[in-house]
Amino acid sequence: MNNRVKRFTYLALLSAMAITLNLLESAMIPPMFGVFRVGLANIIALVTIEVLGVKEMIIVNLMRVIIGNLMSGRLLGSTFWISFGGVLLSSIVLLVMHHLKTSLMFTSVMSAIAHSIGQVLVVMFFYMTSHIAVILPYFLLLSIPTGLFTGFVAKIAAERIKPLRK
Amino acid sequence: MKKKEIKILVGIAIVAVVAIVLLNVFGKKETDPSKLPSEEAKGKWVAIVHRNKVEQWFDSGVDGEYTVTGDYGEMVVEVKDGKWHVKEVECPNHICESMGWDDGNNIMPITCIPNNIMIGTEEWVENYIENE
Repeated sequence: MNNRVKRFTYLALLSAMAITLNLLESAMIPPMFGVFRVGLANIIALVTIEVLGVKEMIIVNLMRVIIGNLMSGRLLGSTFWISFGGVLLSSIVLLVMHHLKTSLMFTSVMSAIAHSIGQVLVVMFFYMTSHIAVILPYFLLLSIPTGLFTGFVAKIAAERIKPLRK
Repeated sequence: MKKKEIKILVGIAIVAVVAIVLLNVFGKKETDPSKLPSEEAKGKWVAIVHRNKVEQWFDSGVDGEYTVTGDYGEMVVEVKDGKWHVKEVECPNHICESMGWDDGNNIMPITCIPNNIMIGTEEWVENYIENE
């Protein structure tokens, strides 16, 4: 198969997986402590940056937010902007971590932390209050085990997907 | 993971724990006691706060339903067996409905951003709501 077609097919498959995981998590897994989600779709972002590269990871993340919110009827609503804030900051951190060549597990934790910070910043903007920032230390603490978990799964998945691309 | 990365993660965890402790010790506000319920509750006193102002107090030990109006539309809060949740809400997201039941131990009160409504315990109101 043409290399470009192969790349495009992988991109489409990974985007579909990210959107599905995102929708499944919001529909089936209740948030921890009423508000915190694991962020399963982040597994796909990590796999994409490992298997395809930075540009593709940004595309997958954008597709996940835009199509995921479109499918759940929340496009351009407050939830969309909160997700967008989280994904934007986590994508920037993923980019930096990839550049610094850190391990996938560490990258995953830092990306989970950035995702939480991005979401809280958008909520602060919506509320026009800084009170919501008191939740950040809890998010930081929870992001470490969840980030390690998504990083671990992404590592296993990437190890299995990489040889298929050759 | 490299040793340096593990050290950074441990550092982040320590910073988070210290921040949580400091917030719980020093992050509290002085509240006008006249704005809080004076009677003893069977369960806990819980407030429905709209735009930083308490709209409705309820006792979590008494089952019932309370309706308040937010920025977007109406919200129905159900109280049962010492817990409370958003039963119905007029808003595009319905995140507050998916936050499920709260008994006051959740790290964040039930929140509806489009309606600008938060539902939290008396302790939370005392510490985080500026009573006007």
